[in-house]
Amino acid sequence: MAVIDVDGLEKSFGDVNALNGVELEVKKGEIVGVLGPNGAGKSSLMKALTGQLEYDSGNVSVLGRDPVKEPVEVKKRIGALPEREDPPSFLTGSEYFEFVSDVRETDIESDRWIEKLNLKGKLDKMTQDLSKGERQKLMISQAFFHDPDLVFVDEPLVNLDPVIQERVKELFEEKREDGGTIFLCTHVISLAEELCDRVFFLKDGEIVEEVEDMDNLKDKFLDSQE
Amino acid sequence: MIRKMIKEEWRRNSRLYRGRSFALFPAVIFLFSLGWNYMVVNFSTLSYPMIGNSLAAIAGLMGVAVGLSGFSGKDAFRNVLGDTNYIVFSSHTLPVSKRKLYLEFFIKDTFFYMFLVIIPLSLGFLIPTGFAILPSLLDAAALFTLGLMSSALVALSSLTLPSLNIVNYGNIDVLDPVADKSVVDIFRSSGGFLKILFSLGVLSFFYWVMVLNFPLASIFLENPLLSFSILIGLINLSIYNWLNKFDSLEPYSYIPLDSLSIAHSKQIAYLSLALPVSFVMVLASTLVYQGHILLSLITAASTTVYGMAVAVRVLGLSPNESLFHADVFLKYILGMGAVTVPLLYMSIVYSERFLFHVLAVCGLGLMAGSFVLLRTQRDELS
Repeated sequence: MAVIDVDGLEKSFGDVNALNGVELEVKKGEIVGVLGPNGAGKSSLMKALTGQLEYDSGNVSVLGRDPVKEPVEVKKRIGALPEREDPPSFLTGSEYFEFVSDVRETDIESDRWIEKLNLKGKLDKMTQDLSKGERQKLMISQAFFHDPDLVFVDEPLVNLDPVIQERVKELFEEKREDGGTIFLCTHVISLAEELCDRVFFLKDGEIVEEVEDMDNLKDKFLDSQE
Repeated sequence: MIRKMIKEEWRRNSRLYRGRSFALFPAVIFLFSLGWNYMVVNFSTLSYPMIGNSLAAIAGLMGVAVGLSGFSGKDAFRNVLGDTNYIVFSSHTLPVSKRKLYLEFFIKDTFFYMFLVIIPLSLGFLIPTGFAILPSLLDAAALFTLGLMSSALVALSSLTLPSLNIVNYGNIDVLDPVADKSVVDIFRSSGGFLKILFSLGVLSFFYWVMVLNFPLASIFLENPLLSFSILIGLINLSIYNWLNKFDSLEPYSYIPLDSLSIAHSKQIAYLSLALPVSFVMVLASTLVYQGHILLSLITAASTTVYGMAVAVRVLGLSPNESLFHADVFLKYILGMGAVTVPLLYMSIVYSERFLFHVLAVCGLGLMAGSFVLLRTQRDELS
């Protein structure tokens, strides 16, 4: 069953075609990557799929719903880790968890995330006083703690130390083992190679290739961009 | 380095306040100061030494405001402008001493805001007084520098304002996550809740000074407390501005909230702050002059609610930026005027026979406000 179904998705910003007829399908229980150079349209694609960006034309279905027509319903059912977003500056880490719990009307197992992402002693500080990596840990926690069936992650390992990077990768794999789906946008080829079941190469807002065999992914990607 | 810092300051402000509007800022300060002082000189009982002292006091307050915003106001700018960094923080990456950078930053701020604010403000004082208060300029310059230096030192010393710990998310319990967060933002951002009291306090103070020292005002203002309660509804826009200063729709884009629910939360936060603050200001005013307290409280509440409806409808969730567009500003003024002008008129010519008229306009204002809010909601949904 397709959890994401995209057909002819287009989005322009003035003269720039950020998304140019994107077509893709993502099935339940897989980690799917979107690889592309800077400005290829990865973040725009993720925003369009998560109801953060209204597209110009095309058909999009996420967990059976249209993210433009039902953005709140889609966001209730998914988790999202945007590339450039921090938790609110003036809340402490634990208040931020409480805030997201209130909005999602779900309890959070803070202890689980404190242990998993090594957040001990950090949740009492205002998030603006945390390091970039610690803020990223909070953002990762909020994307996963309500146990969504589908999680969108955009450059998830940025600013994280190697130990936490491994734990986050384990988190993605656990999600897949539980039948969940991860939609990963990145330009880190080794990450896609390590985790993904399938990868889409994006260039100038278009899917130029779909790859299932992760061997020599770097060469395949570089070839696709020529 | 100072030249580059001045350029940086200009760009930061012009981006924040949209280029051309910002360039007019000294002219607006001058005209406002000139108009006010023309009235003071011609219609008040204030003596020239007192006028000179008030210039020095305002300059001192400006110094404090500039010093605080220059250093600890970075949080507000970051939330409005996105990630920002300033030359003053270059010592983190470049081989230059912090002490040198801070000294140059301080000199830059002194010159920049002297030209931007203090000089046009002072000219507005000097011209109507025929330059009789010229010696006070020295006091003004000294107090501005002192205010700037002391507040910058406080900001740099990273002292925690008591208000940071008064309000916590979760214990303010206004029933709505975004409303809670917005209130926490105000209490924990630079200046804490004092910035609200400051912005309302300064304008209230001007009004009180006018009522007490302008014989002409006592002729025009038959019921100064009632007039003040209407003014409060207008001034409360500053609370709506602060509630929207630290976020936009973007930070909520990844969680299940739509713009309508965020706007609704901002309204809850606004009412939970603006109504009690308005009541306190009206009650505080009774220490300065007499009036019909209950009627004034009702009027303050209804103009506050009506003001919110107009702000939501016309200014949306970015009031700080929207107000600098002339057409939006005009719509806002006309929208507010529809209720506040009749109320002000009745407060000016007040007698007991107007009691029910005032209540009727308040009721109409509340109904109009509700209608505007419902209409806004409907438009958003469609």
